[in-house]
Amino acid sequence: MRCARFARGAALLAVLFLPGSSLFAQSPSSGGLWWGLSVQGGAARLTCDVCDRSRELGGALEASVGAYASDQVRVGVEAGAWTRSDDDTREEVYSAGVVAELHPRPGSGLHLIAGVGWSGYRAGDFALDAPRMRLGAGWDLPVSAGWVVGNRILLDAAAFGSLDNDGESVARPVGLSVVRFGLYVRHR
Amino acid sequence: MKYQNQLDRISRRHGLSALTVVAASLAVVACDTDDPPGFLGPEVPDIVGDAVAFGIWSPSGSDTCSAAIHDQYFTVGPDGLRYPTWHPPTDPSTGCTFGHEHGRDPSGSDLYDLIGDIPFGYANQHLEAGGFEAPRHEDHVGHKMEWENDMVMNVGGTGSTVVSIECDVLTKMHQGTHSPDAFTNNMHEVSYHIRCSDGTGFSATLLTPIGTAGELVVGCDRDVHIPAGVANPPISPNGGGKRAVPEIRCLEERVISPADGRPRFDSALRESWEISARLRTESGHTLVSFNPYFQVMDPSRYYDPASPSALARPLDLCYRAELSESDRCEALAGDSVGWDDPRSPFKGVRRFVDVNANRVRNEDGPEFWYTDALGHNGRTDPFPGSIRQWVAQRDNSSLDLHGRVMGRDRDYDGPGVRAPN
Repeated sequence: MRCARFARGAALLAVLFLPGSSLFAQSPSSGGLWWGLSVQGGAARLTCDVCDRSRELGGALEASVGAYASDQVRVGVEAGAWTRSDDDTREEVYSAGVVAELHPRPGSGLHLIAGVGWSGYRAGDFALDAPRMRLGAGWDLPVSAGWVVGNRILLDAAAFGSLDNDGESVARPVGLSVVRFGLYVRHR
Repeated sequence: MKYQNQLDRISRRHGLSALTVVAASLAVVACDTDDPPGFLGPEVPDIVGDAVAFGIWSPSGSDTCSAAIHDQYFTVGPDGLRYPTWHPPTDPSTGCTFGHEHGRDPSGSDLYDLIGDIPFGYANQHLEAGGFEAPRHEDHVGHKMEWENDMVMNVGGTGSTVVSIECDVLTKMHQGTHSPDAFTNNMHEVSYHIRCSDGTGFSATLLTPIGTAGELVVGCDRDVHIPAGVANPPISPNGGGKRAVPEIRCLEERVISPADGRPRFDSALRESWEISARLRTESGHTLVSFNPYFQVMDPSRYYDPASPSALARPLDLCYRAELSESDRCEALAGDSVGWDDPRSPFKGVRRFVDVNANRVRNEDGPEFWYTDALGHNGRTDPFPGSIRQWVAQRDNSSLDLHGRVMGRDRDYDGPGVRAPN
């Protein structure tokens, strides 16, 4: 029993760390649709004169959908949420935007991620809404003809927002950054 | 002359040598040129007389200090009058005891260099000159100080999770818990100073009416209000907040006949003065509002309408056979002492302050305002009986800036300290 579990674990690790091109290597086809889901751990931090600047760890979910612009470029829209609880206070960061993912080397799992959009921070009566930029990188590991798993690291950086408490501005400008590391599954 | 007063005080309070005093003298002179705008302002006036509050304490009972030694602890108010100020319960140069204490030594506060010694009774002194048609003076021992540096504030109900603001807070409240004064009298002097990392700040000194004049609120049942007599002065205005004072039914419920058989003096006697103070302009605009709760766990009195002056002593309950070795009475170890004996466990030395809300709405105003002793009629120029208040040019109304507790674990008992304290 223990050996079987070990074998399954080893197989999973192999899938995760082998180069993408060595397993089910397949070039994306231009014009095809794709969608994905991602589970992430993330650390968020507000930046302003009066903000608590400690970076806090939380969990996040994200969904995205789009189309292939070329064999090496995916574009799409993404939306997600990050959250953590501190004593009686729940902090949440919502995000939505457009994203582009570029495979610089055809056949490689490595891809670069860039996007723009919106981030919204909520905690009790506090709220922040700000434009956001996303940069990141990921590694695709195809597991079948239609499915890819992988991991990615992302930096979401929002700026020029106003932190409001119950509708009144507390601080401006306010920045919000979230560093995320996640696993995802994507259907081509 | 004006520097000598400060140096006398420094020397007296800290027992410094002559050489150190000379060094301090140079420091005082050096610092005087760019003194920050504190409570006293940049100028320390020459002494022109004594305030009513000065020189009213004299030794009694087991006190071993003379009035003359006590009166060496003074500060000069902005009006040039001598006022009593904080001193330790034991005089460091003679070792004699005053029998009372004024709380935490303010010299440790980060605001001390800015504010200086707080004159006790300053608002009382100026009440009538500002137009109030009756005097209100308070005893000496009831002046209690508390402070905290770098207090992490709660903001917007989210603690410090979202917004992190630290404040230095220095307070002085007149809170007598040994006499019947507070059963009826709701006007008490508060001096409150706060400076925060976000720019919030104010220094306010006023006589604040706490709750309804002539009426107390039962400490263990806040829904019960008891008319206790005529306030002094009888024209005392009603104020916000309340004076929650222990009453005989609290002692019956929680000490004499507790449901679980276990007496709890702290629960029965806990006294909470919940103030709701403001500085207002003459047009009625609120510049500053704050509402700290001043709490005492071991007052030496409670309200009992069956007692003379409705004044009863919790210590007397310790001499009941069933309570003699229970809870706080254990400290007596069977001794029989008077309510004003240093060995009594009820002498008002266990206190703390809930700082609560601190609101400033003075974004466009000047930093210095002059109000009457009640904190009203604020103007930009002084007038007879006015008190200079300092308010930061800030509007923090969006922050909902709340402080935490100061002094929860502190105890100001000391050698010779006893009720009345």
